[in-house]
Order: sequence, then structure tokens, then C-alpha cells
Amino acid sequence: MAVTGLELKAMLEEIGVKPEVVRALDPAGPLLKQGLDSIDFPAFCALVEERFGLRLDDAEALKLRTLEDFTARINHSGGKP
Amino acid sequence: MTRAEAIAALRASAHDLVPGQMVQADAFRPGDAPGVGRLFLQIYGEDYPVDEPYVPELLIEANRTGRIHTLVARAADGSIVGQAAAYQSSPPNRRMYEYGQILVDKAYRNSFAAFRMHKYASENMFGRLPGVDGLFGEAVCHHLVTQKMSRGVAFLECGLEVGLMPEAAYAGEGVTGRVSCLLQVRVDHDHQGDLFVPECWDAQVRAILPSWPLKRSVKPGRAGHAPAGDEVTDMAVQQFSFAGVTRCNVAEVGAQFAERAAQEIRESVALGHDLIQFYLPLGSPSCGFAAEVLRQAGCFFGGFAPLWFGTAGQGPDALLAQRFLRPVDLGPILTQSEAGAGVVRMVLADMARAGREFGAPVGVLAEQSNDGPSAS
Repeated sequence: MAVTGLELKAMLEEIGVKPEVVRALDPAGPLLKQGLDSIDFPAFCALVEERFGLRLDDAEALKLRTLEDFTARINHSGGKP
Repeated sequence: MTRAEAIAALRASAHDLVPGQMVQADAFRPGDAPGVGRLFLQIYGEDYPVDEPYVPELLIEANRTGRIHTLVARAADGSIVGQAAAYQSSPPNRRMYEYGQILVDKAYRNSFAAFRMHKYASENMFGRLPGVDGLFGEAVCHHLVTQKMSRGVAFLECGLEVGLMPEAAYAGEGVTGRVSCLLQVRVDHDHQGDLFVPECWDAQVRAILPSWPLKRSVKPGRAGHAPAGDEVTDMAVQQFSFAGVTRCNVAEVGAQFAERAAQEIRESVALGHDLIQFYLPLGSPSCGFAAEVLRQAGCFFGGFAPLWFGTAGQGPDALLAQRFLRPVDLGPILTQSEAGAGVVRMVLADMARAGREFGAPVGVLAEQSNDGPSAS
């Protein structure tokens, strides 16, 4: 089952990103230029790993810049269980 | 093995790590000790002030006995790319540990190694370490990363060590002036006790006290409550030469406290230090007296440190008073939370008061911008 950008936005709120930052996110824009910082980003990657049973090595994770990149990566690996 | 021999061995086996490997955080194993030593040598050279990180058998023994709880970030080939630790440091309370020494190999600075260690610590160490009642951290204030990570795991802001570290400690990070650190404390197992709130810093202590659910019998710490003539001051003094800081842990306030404090201030000036800190025992009825002595000596409020003394001396908690020994330039003081900003405002206001009332040297804050809650 494919994951949606909306679900990933909800996960960003779970890790503590402010709702107003999440609401304003452009799915095609780099997360680190839209209010996520160097703690939020790895925390989000860790939650994606845990939630979708993925293993992202750091180099690969750092190439996932936008919410759309994450959606594509998760769905490429089979989406959500 | 001596420290010198250990450092020589580390130098002889020095090598660059293979970059880009998968990294996992994990508990320390004895075989990790040389990798931890290699990290300290890479980052601090030979100057780190304690021996354990360099000498494998000392680090292994400290982890075995629980004086240090090291965690590592281990690469797929077994190399140690990062380390962090909870360890006994300045507090007289041996059950109050410091959390810090977070180091990452230069080849892995653009990885998530630091985050993975932090996540491991929050899931496996904080609140779970045997013999540890509380943890404290000193989060630098020229960026917000450490403060944010600490607050997320219940390290609460309770003091500001103004200008604690010299600019040279953060070379390459673009900071000008001495770097201040926010004192953040996490309490896992409280100990009931008396708390004599010094009259002169009553508002500050009472503003911070509700941060944790501490069981305290709160009483006024009157400035006039001098210790009896036969009571002796018990003061342990640590000199941090590189930082230019003197730290005095006052376990017992005695009749000669004023003379002892003045002597330490004079000697610290003679050493060329910039800052002196006094940790006073808030469980002592004479704490208010000692606080007033320090206030009149030009000290200002620094913080309230729960469990700093524990059962040592007249604990359990401490009041931090501090004094600059000459005027210094301060780097930016950024805060991540409103609670942290409140602490910073209180401390800086009292520093300014010490300058006005007693002509004490003060820190001069650089112009700053702050994305988080304002401290000014």
C-alpha cells in the first residue's frame, strides 16, 4: 500500500516539528530549507526506518532531500506494511 | 600502561577510517577502548585532562565499575566512529553523572552518528543506569543543537555558566568571545531534603525549582544565619587551566567562609583565570549567609542544581554563584526553549547588577540574532 505525503507530514509532527512548519511544507522542496534542522532530519529518517521496516544508510538518507523523495523511496521498497 | 605509553601506541597505530560505512550505536565493549582512544587523540590531541580515554585498561575498568558508561557508534568493519558517555565529574554526589564527551570522527561528521548515539542513550541509558540518580549536561549556547537534543530527553534548564569556555575550544565554529553553557539537569531518582533558599537569590531559585517534582522542605536561608564559630568550611577546589575557570564545591559552610572565598578569588586572579564558580549547599541553614558573602564579593546568580551534592555535605541541591575575574567578551547566547531563555534573562540581569552594585567585572555580550526564544 502506497504511503502519501500527508502521512509523512503527520510523522514529522510526531518527531516534534512544529505544526505550522509541517503545514507550510512544499513536498517538492528540500526539507532542510523549510524549517527542519539537523536533529529533526535524522529523527525523521529513524522514524521512517522504524515505521516502514527500511534500513537507510546515512549516505542514502542524505540524498533524500524532499518529502517526495521519501515517498518515492518508501513506495519503491513496497510502501507501508 | 601509562598515559604516555598509551598515547604513543595510539600514534603508532593511527589510521584513517573507511568513510561511508553503515553505523550503529551500541554499548561499549572492551575491544572498543583503542578506538575510543583514537577518537580522543584525533579531536583533543594529547591534552584531554583525564587519562581514561587514552589508556584502554583504565577505560575498560571505569566502564566495568560504572564510573563511566560509554556508548559508541560502530561502523560495519568494527571501527569506532563516535562515542558519548555518562560519567562522574565535578558534582560531589557520586550518583549525579555528567552526560557529554560526544565525539564523532572527522570522516563521519556528515553522517547521523551523533543522532544514532543520542537515540541509543535515550532508549538504553537515561533513567536506566544503575547507581545514577540524575544526569546533567552543559549545552553550549553558540548553537542550539545540544540544547534541543537535551531538552527532548528531559534535561531541564536550570542555570547559565556564563563564559565558561574559551573561544579557542571552538576554533573553526565561527564563534567570537567566551562561550556560555546552559546547565541542564535530568532527575531520575530524587532524595528528600532541606532547601534553605538564600534571601538574595530567592526569586531565582523559586522560579527554577518547580521544573522537577522534587520533595523538599523549603525554608528561608537567612543572610544573618552565620555558622557557629567552630564550624569549618569544607571547600574542594578544581582548577581548569585551559578553560581559565576555578570551580569550588562548598560541601560545608564554616565560620571562615568569607576569608576562604576571598582567598580563592585572589588566587584565581593570580592564575590569570577569567571565571570562578561556587557551588553552595542549599541544605545548609548557613547557605543564605554564604550566598550573601559571595554577592557582596561581586558574584551573581548562576543556577540551581538539583542533587549536585546528594548525600555529600549539606546537600542535596546546590546554588551556583559565579564571578568574572576580569571583563570578558561573550559569544552569542542562544536559547532553544522559553524556559532556557528565562534562565538566561535572570542570570544576565544579576550579572549586570553585580557590575552596578559592586563594580564587579562583567561579560560583554556580542550582538546576536536568535531563531529561538529570545534571551535578551
